[in-house]
Amino acid sequence: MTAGAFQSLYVHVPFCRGKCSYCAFYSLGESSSDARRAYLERLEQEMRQGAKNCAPLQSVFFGGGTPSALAAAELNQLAGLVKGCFALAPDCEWTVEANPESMDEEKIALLAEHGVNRLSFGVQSFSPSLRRTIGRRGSPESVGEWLSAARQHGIQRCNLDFIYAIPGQTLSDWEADLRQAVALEPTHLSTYALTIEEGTRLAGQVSPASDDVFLDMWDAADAILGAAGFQRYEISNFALAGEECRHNVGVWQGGTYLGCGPSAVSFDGAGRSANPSDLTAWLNRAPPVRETLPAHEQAAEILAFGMRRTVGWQWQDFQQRTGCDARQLRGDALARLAKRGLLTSDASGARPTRQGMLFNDDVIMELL
Amino acid sequence: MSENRQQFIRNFSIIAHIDHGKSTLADRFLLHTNTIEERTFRDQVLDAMDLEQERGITIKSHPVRMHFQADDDREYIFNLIDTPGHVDFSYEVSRSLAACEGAILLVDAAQGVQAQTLANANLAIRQGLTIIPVINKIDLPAANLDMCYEQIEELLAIPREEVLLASAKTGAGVKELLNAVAERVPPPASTDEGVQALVFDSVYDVFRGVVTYLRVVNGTIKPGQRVRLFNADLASEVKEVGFFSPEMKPADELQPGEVGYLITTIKDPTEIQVGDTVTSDLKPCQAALPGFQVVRPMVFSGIYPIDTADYEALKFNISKLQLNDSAFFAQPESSVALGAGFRCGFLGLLHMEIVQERLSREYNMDLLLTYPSVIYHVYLRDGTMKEVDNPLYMPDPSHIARVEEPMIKAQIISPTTHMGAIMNLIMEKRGLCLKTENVDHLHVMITARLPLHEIVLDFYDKLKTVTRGYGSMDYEPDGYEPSETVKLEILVNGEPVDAFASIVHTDRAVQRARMICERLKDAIPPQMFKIAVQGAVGGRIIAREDVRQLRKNVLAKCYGGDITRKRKLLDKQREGKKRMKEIGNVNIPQEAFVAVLRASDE
Repeated sequence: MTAGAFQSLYVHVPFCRGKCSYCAFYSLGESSSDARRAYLERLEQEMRQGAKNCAPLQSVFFGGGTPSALAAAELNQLAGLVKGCFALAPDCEWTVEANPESMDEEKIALLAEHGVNRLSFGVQSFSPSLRRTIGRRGSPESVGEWLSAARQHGIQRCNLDFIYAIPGQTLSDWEADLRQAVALEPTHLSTYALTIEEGTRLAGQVSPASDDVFLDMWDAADAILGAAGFQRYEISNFALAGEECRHNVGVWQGGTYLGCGPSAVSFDGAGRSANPSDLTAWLNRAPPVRETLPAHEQAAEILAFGMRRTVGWQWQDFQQRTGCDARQLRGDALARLAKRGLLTSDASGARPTRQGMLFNDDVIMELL
Repeated sequence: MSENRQQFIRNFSIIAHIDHGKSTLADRFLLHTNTIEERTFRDQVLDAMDLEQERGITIKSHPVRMHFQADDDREYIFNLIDTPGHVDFSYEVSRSLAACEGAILLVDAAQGVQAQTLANANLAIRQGLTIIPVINKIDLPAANLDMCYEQIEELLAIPREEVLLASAKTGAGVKELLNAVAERVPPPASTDEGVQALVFDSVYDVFRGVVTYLRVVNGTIKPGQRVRLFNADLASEVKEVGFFSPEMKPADELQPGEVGYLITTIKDPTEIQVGDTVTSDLKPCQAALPGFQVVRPMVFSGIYPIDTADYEALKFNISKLQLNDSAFFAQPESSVALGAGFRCGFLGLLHMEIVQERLSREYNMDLLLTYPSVIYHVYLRDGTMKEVDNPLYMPDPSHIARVEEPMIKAQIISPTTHMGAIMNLIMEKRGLCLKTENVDHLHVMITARLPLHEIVLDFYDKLKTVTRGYGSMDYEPDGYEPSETVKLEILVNGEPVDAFASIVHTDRAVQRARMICERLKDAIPPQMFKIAVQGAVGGRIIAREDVRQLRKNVLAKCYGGDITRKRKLLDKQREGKKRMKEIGNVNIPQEAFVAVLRASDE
């Protein structure tokens, strides 16, 4: 594989109104307006530099951190930077992550004004006690209001993020969350099993839910969301038909993306570059860490991580993306996975079974 | 050497229980006789190996020659033959004693007579040696001379008037002790039988080859002479003879009664056996010196490197160890589960521990030892008998008429207060108490018969525990006894794992099987499918545990930067998997082998 122009843009906003106990992303629980000003200044330089290697962008994604934690003026400046620095494809998908408690109608209006067409709200859970367990601040109640406001301002596409398999969470707690989510009429839902990451406050504090509970909740999501017209299209993601997150699908398919901001990662088709996970280091222009793989290993990686998607890979698509024939590249591994019941494959492609989704690490391990 | 010179030679040993101060006293002798100078003095010069110094025990005997100016104004030549201090090496002790006319019996003033004091004293008495009893460490605040006198009288039938007092540490009583050696130990006697010299040790020196330690009984040995090892029936030519003073010093010849070393044209250290007789090749003696026996290992275990890449290093280091330890037996063996390794034989438990420790410490190797076995006599239905020391070669139960296991007779000395606990322990270890005797009004000596296998496992540790460290033990082989012995197999997903197989008493099988299954269940990572870990005897399942079943193995979030992280994590897991052994479709990590093989039975 060779380096190509970036098709997508990811912007990491490292600011939050407080750090959640499970969060392993790079973010700052408190920040000064000076820090945010410096961030935006440096971001502009990084974007201008990166834009030289960009095709008209197919997607833009503001993640974090919490982009909505920025003040309205700052958010306005940030969205303006994107438009000032990059050419956007006419049907560009532009997503901004937000927390209900730091969102307001003013921000929604200005984002819509800039062309943002997709919002992603971190709800995690509606249950106050479970929110406490995972150290989630604020209240998610306003999320319904923001969804209505978004639609009023022309932003039709909205995602809600949920966490399940929280210690103490019952199946009916989870089903209640799912039903309440569906009632808000989002177009997309992300359901993440709680991962207790090393170095987070949650680590050592609680033990993960049992595999049995996890499986029941996994199935409940398929059932309840399925009944409301959502399909699981990736391990943790559901969408109404045609409402898949194009940006993330691009990532899983080995598409190229430019990452801006501290801890952001870029992928140019030949290798990854990771910005330092530290605001000061990034402000001081500490260089990104670049990692390249031999072409066939890079292709194998794309094959492997593509299997997170329900549709897996069509041989033709893979060939187009990487220039490699998947069955020549990893024929043995594909056969072993089929034998283990983790994949089904045929003349057109290969896709994970339910077991293959649940044991995706084993699938990746074989294919890498 | 004239008859007159021979009159002034004194060949003697110091015998004692472990830690009773034998090596310190030997060092004190070297200083007192100016054999070494104060400034070159290092504590316990004779214990050359680090391990010996660290454990405070002597493994190998090191002879040394000293000149002593006695109070009678005559100069004597003292040959001190240091002896190993543990029961595993009792054959070497007895050969060293056979080279002597006298023995200093050392008793710790605070601890009194211990099991090995007695065992070694009995060896010396049986060989007709003159015994000089000494109570050592009299400078200790806890010294109890009355107790020691009483025990020496009671157990050794030596009147207290003959007992000397000394402190090897301060030097008190050392001069008197040396004079007593000159006075009481008889000079060596010789006849005109032709050349006869006793081999009491043999070591491999990287620079000089095989160095044999000799006590000349009759005749002389000198360079250029053709000599013959009587029992091995092996001829060679003498290249060099000499004395230890304490380092090797060449001499013109070794005369009757003298102790020294011999270097011949023999290259292979295994060809020279302790206890053999060196004689003239041209005019051989009629009979060998008495007491020769080939040393046979009694305890067996597989030794494997944890990292299979260490095999070549292990092979090299084992052969190096064997050069200086003819009793250590090793032959290549391979295990499905552990790869290439060695089947090793040892004289006893301590010997096994020493070898293991030397390999792992001196050569820095991480090793796994399989469950130890003794030599079982397996009588088959066809009337033949098979010696089995490895579970792999245990015949199918349907072919076995009966099995006999080796027994030992143990002598245990302990404070009387722990007698009940010791009796319980003996019963628990399938033993039989044969006799109890009072040592003094506070101590008792118990004679018991036990299966050797129990001793090899943990009897000694248990004895130390139940007697709070005050109990001591010595043992000697005591024939074979019919035993309900079975081969215990451990199966993972239906397939036997050879490294976990063991030969155990049937009463122990269930307990051991459960212990292993439980440990394996925890040590084998959760699997996608239900995996059973089972213990089986003769095809019958006697224990079972299920490895935790994994229902999922998936990362919830995987976006841009996560891919690199995940990839690195999986790479690490994959590296780990390479070190696992696949048995019955299950990857068993090294830790599982360590957890099982390094576990005690409880």
